[in-house]
Amino acid sequence: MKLDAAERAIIADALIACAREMGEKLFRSAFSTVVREARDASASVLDAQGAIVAQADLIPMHLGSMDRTIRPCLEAFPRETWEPGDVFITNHPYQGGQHLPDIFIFTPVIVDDQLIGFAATIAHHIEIGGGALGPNMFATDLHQEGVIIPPTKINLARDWNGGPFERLFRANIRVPDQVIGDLNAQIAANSVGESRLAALCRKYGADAVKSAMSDLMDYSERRFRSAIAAAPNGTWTAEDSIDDDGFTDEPRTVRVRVTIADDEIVVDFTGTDAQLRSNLNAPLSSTISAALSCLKSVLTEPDLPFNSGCARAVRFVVPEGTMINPHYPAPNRARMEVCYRVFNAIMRALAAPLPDRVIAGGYDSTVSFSLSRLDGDSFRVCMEVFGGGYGASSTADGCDAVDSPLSNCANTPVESLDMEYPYFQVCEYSLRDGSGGEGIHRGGLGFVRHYRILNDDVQLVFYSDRFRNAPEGLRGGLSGQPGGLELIRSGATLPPVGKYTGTLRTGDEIRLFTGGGAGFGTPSS
Amino acid sequence: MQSNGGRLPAIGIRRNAIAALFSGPAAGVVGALNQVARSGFCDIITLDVGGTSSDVCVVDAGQPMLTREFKIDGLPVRTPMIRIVTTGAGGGSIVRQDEGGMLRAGPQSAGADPGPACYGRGGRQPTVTDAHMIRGTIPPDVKLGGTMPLDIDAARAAFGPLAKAFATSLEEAADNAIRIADSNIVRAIEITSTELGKDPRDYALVAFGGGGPLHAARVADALGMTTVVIPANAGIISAYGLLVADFTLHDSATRRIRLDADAPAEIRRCLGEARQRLRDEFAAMRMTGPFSEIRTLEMRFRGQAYDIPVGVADLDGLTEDRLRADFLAAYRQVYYYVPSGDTPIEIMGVGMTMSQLSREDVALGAADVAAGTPSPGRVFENRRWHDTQLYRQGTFPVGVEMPGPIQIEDVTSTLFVPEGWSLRRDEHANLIVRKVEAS
Repeated sequence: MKLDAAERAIIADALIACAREMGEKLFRSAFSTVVREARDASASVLDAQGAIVAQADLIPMHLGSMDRTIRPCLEAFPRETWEPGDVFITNHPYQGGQHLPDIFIFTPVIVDDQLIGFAATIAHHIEIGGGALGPNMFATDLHQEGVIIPPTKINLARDWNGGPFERLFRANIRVPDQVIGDLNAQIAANSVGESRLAALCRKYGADAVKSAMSDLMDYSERRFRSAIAAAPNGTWTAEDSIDDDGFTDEPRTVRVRVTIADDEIVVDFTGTDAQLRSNLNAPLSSTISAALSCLKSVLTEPDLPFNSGCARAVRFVVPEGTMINPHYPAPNRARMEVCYRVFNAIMRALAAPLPDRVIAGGYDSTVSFSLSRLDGDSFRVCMEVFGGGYGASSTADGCDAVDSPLSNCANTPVESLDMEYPYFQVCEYSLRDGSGGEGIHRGGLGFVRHYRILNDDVQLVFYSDRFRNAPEGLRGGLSGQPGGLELIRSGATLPPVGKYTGTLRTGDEIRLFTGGGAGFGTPSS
Repeated sequence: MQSNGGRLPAIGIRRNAIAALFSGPAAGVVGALNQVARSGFCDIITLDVGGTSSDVCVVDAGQPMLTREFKIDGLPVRTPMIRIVTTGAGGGSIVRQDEGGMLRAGPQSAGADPGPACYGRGGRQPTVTDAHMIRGTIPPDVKLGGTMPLDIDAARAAFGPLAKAFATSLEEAADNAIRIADSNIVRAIEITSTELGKDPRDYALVAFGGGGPLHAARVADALGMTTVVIPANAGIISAYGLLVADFTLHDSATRRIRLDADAPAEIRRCLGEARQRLRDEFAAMRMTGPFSEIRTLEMRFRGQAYDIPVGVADLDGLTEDRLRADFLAAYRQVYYYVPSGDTPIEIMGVGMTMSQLSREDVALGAADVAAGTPSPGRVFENRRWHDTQLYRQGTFPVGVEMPGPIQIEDVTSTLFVPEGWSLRRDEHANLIVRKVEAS
């Protein structure tokens, strides 16, 4: 169906508004701090084939690959098996998902027996069971990391709200009220999206809405391709490494070869190190999301609506058995560190042809910090995700003390933590002077957070990267400072670490310091 | 004037200057509300279309919605203010084809200088105002502000490249541009109505500002609204608001109260304290009432971070069950879903708004004028030209209902009543536009 210029723009805008409203409602009705405050959740509208049409601009990592996540659901459950009230749910890293805490829910939107598309949300859940209270840093296979939900179809009336699926799931996680509450927020956001899409179909007709969906993807593809075409043709290689493999101090390296040929890009990761025994592997969906996020941020204007149309202009070569496309059952809870090196390696490769569009290396690490406690028969879990300083660009200093670019989470206000968690307190939260690399433009600063533990038997799980290897500057800019964590016990400060799992007691203190970004351009003396 | 729509004497505002942050837009809402309330409209959505942007606000039973979540220059503002949503769609909004081939209107604006191409001040880019000229919703011989002639040839020249790019006539390109601007306004209204569980069909659309009356009928149609009201002397609505606003103070306190059998007594106690504080504050300004009060509880499921406001109309009849039922109903309205089971509910804040009514009683009505004879006009809509009856504002008779298409030209704005809608001017000089039942 051919739409006129106004209809096409109006329906496209409504589709994007629908995804944005879903995202907003998801945070506002969520229960855990990680969703309601840190906003580690995302929403999108998919078409009837599962292609991404529109998404809320939330967590870049979540979205670039949602089309890959729904595909196994649709393959496992043909259309004729669907009943009213069915939704799809999955968190399986080896069947299109990312890591186990990221649970996807897809709600079909059906108008007059016609499948229009799906309302989709993903949230990072605060707890997902598994072999440890908090992330299991010693896991050597996926099963030790938590409950696996394969691509599954459940019926909300029959299986949820006290039904068998919810009961089974609830029994396998440690803080069910928060996790189930957040899943309910996802279901609610999806039903908002479902009703908005249905209303659009009633207003403009289902055919018009479907045409607008496909037009919107074509539109993004056109803009993405014209941005690629504006860059010079050529092939560039680069690499970046994570500090270690999780069990030894050996760095592990992502290698990339980026080829721009007219309006297409080939991103080839041949030569990247093999999959790891630890949880630092990134499943394929995560790798692709990280790579697309980098390409979009370097090449395009911020107002380009991201969707599956963009991905049509990119071809990926990601060898199997590497740490960025591992085989089952490699664990992958801490996938983000290597995803950031994917991001950094592509950014470095593009620095040669597009020096004014890239930024220097930032701290670019996920600092996962969790303080948990078993109090009687009930668990309390506090999980936060931190970043540090951004790399500087040719036009500006790097941003200070924010989450790293792929996750885009907000921080949880100290006041919220105080209300929620009685077993620790935050004594200091400040910028870390001197942590940004000097340059014509300075790298962003990391920050310091100082905690005091108020009860015995508090479990701390901490992992990060860029503890040994600092981010590199561009065009003579200096490196940023690495980050880490110090434990202060009985007045003595223990040597800093980049990863830690252990039990804390009353009076222990933690000094967490995150790294700064690198500078851009040779600094004047 | 405060951002919350209430006035305070200088002595009061001096101690709390932040309360005046958005006094201008708030005055517009209050002015429009007061003028159309004379005609009996108290559930309204206001639409103020200016040169660079449009402001919309929802008013329930004479009370503009308030918000405490606002940012200015990245800094949070937590004093209660009228919840006005702004979108970059105004008369000066530039119409363009972006690099992906999509038609867009705004948020870039030609401003007042050079302004739209038809201003003849050197503007070359097509704007929403130029589109209105081309499709005739602004009549070709109109003088802006009564004095400034407009250059329709310049408007047509500015739209030439767009018409060519989309392979349409000039008129169709102009009409498409207005549809995009309308849609941006519709989105702004949805953000503050449907997204909060309010149905726009329960409201009248009150349009003012230079462009409001031009867009009103189609915006209303897109939202299923069937009544549009143009307040008399729409150009001076904000000044009027400053004159007639009530005197208002707010009190809010964070009180974490678990919803159980003891909750109603505790709420009554907290509200009693708030009432006393507010009366003391008014007394310090030498105001002694009589006062009216509105009571609001901020409620949530325990563990959430955002509250839902729940009004307390009947304080004496307040019970645990009543509160729970009201909260769940409000929750479902916003989220379309209520978690089952027995998730505990809590009250996080107790708020009271106290007002002393303004004693000024000023009407904005125009003097009675004998009915004049309309001249013929024409407007391009839905791919064809429509003949219209073109009246000067004062010359449209009072009390007569006439079918569209009609255009009313005023010094500061132009009203377009499309086919399928009717127009009546009531005894308060407000123009009432209604959707005619489909035959």
